[in-house]
Amino acid sequence: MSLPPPDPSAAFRPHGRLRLRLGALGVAVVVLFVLLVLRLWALQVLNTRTFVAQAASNHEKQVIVRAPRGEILDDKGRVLVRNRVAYELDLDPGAVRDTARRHRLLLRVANMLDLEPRPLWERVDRELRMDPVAPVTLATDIDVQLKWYLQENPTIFHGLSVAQVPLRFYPYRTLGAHIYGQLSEIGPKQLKDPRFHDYHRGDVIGQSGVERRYDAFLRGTDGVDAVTVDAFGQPTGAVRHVKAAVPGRNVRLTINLDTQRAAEQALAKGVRGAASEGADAGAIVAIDPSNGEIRALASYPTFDPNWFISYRKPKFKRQLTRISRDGGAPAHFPLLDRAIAGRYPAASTFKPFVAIAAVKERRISTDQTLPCTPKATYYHKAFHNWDQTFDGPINLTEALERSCDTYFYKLGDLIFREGGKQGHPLQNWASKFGFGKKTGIDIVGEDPGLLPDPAWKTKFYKDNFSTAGTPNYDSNWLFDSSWNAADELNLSIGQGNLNVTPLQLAVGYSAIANGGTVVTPHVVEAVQSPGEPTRIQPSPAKGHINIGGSLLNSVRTGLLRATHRPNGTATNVFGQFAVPVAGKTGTAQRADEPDYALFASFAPVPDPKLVTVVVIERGGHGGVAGALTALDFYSKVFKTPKPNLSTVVDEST
Amino acid sequence: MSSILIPGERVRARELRRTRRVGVLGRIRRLDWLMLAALAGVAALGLDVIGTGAGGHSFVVKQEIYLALGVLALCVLSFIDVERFRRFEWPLYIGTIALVAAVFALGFSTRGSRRWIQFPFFQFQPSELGKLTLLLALAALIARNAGRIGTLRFVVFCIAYAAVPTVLVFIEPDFGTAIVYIASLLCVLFVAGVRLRHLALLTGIAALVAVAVLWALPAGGVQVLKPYQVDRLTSFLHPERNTLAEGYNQSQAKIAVGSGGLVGRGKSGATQTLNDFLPERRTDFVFAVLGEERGFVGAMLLLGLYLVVLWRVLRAIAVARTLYARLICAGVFGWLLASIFISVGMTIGIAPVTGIPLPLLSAGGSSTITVLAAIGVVQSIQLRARLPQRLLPDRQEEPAVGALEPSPLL
Repeated sequence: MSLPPPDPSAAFRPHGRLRLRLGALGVAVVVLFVLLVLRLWALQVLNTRTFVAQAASNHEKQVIVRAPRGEILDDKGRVLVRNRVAYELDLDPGAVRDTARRHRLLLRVANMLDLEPRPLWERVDRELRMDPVAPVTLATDIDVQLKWYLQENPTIFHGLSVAQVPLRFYPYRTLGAHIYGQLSEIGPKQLKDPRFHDYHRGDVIGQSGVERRYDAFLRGTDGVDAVTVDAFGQPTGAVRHVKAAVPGRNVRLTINLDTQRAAEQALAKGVRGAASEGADAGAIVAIDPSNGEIRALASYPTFDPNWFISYRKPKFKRQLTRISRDGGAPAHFPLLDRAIAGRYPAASTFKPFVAIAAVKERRISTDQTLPCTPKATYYHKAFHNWDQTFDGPINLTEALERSCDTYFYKLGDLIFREGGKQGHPLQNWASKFGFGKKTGIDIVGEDPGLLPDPAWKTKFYKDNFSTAGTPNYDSNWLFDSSWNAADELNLSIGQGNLNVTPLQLAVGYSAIANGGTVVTPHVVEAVQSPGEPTRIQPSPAKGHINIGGSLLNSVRTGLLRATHRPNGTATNVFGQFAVPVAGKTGTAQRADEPDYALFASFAPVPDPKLVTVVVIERGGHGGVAGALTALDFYSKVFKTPKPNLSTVVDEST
Repeated sequence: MSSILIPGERVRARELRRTRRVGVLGRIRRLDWLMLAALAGVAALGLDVIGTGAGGHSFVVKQEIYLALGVLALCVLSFIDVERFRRFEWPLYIGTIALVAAVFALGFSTRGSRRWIQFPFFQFQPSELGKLTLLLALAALIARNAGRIGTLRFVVFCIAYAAVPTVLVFIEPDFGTAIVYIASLLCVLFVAGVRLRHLALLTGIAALVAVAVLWALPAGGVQVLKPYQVDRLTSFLHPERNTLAEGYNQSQAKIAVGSGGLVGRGKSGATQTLNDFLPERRTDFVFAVLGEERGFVGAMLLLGLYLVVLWRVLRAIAVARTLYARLICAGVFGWLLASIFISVGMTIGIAPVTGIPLPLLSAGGSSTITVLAAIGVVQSIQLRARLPQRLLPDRQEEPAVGALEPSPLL
């Protein structure tokens, strides 16, 4: 018999309350651990994706990869505007939080860049108020040497960084400067505009010209790179391509490089040649009358768009836009695109449209003769012809050939006498040819010109010569505010309040050249990108005017005679030229200024390929400065030698 | 053996003689190997996690040295009868206070806090060692006065006794360690048999004090805590409010843990860790590294190992032969539980951010060695419980909890 083996620990086993309390501790452990496990489950299993995304956004900094902007090509595919790699100087605001330190740094930068420090400070401070963390661009297109210097002295220039950016480059410099337009960072006002809803702060956007109108095609789609950074925001080197940048599409222009160059050279030469008259500016437009494609579009004086790329922009801009009204240096405004925004009296170049209006309104017939006297009197007021030597009856064709003012005064009077009954036929017909409204060219900044009519005159006088609350008729004013015969007669020779742009004239003459179709002028032929079908820009005609065969023939003949018959106003210039050019001279009179020389033409007759309009401001007689410029242009375009013109110039002057 | 023995008793006495002479091998066999295995697993995970990233290797080597020293302490303490410490109650208590007070004279400060004393080869954090020494002294005090544990007066005295070093630690300031001291004290009192209504009363007062310190007094213009401490204590309640200020560390830790997913992102994919978004990633926020690298599975493995350790310590409380030993185990239990819960909880947003090392996972000599030493003491206690005992205890045991006067609550 033996006792059961002793259980040594039995006496010390917990019992009673201790047992309960130890149990409570066990429960506490279980409860706390269950809490931890549940929470870990929630974080790690249920919400993994959220936290992985947060971790990714934590250690990856998204960097926008700018899409290279599309190039601008001429009609043969030659590159007129392309991109180049440049260096941009940026300030990282996080590195220099202290304003005083930042200003010291910027002072140093300003000295190196030869800029005024104060505007730089103000601009940087302003941008930092808008966004305190985004880097601020201090200067674009800095010298490579400067870039090296900055990078070799990182301790001095802590907070500055140099980034590679694509910038526009214009290999032909001034060529076509007014067509392309400028780029700039999108402005705060534009950002608020719903039209620019898919643009972001810092985006570069076309602000004028083709760059603006075709920005949607040219800009492409920016890509995104993810750069790995550590907790201090320092890149660790790894880059992940999140979204590739899609380069912008190329835009092919209707502009021909050679034609454009010819136009610019001819214009510059024409302005310089008429400098003795006071010429200092001008414009030239050459368009294809069959479809409105603009072959050349130039304005003088011009500028090199490359200037605007540099960080020295402000200085240049002041120079380019300087306005001088105090009688000193003439106001040049090189940035003004005179071809589409210059407002000029059409003068005699308007006469064909007056003739068409008169015939279509059955005031005269094409063969009917009217006296072309040196002087005519209407309503007790004398109206003179420019040519005081000729006196005789002429028909429409001859009137255009001689540009007889009194003939057209008569037409104006004939139209005016019946005007009240049938609306305003002259304005109606001019409007059909596109005067007084925008032509619809695909360049931003076009001027509508002014086609004065009774309603306009009344409003103009009310706005300018009366005060609010008083009757709009002011007995002290010499002219009454309603449309009168003098207005109509002035309009009939293209003077008075009529304002046209060279482009409008080109569109009007295109209608004469092509048989009545009013084209929509355009500079962009197609939008293209590699691997994509080329998109042709549609250019629907604005309308068709049924001019009628015999009338059209009379007008065309008149224009051809003006350049070829002995009495033609431009025969001295074009008479010996191998290419048959039909054209109309215009000598616009402006108060307190030398005359403006105009010449509107098309060639070759009878199947015109080009309509060319030349305006030389303060250029004197249209048959000299205007026609000579056009001749110069045509001879280059058609590769035909110019006749010897030494005698011409002598005679005219 | 001169007394008359009945035959059965003779046999028992013989067995007793035989079993009383348990050799070194027998003692080693009787160590709690399950607990040691779990701790080894934790330490291994720790070395793995500490080694991540640049410079990780040197931390691993250091940690290995600390672990070796800690294991040495564990071995030595495992074979020392814990009862021998009982008579060092006052020296241990005074020593604890002197240790934690020494940082004010000798310590150097890091981020506004004086916690460490610099020695030639390592930095010593006295408050870590103080966890163990204070516990030994406190257990001795209570064991000595076991009969009075039912009185509020004695309980308050015990709290005041522990409060002296705790407050010193608190004003270093080392809020996290102070919390561990408090958790340890609470656990000791609970196991010692403090009446629940006293415990409830004191807890209520503590809650009032907390409200006063965190809200009422600052509103009245008296700052007890430093503002950063208030922020840290309360920011876990609204973690999304300011990710860049005090909540930054915690939200980064949460992102790290959450992004780990089920199986983790591995050593090379752990971007939060590798790119230094995780602060204090080898010490206070070490769990977040584990969570990111090894995911939910790794976290469960660690918590499982800790659960085993806590269970074995709880078992040691149960089997301890004396009240003194039992209270020591209870203190270690509270210390480990609080450390684990707060250190893990703060990385996942359910506990305030306080610098508490995760036992054996965080890099750090003072913490590692002290934890292993404490484990050694627990091993010694449970070892003694497993040794064959004389039928009659040779020392008068203090009355256990059951012997106390009845409490209506229990």
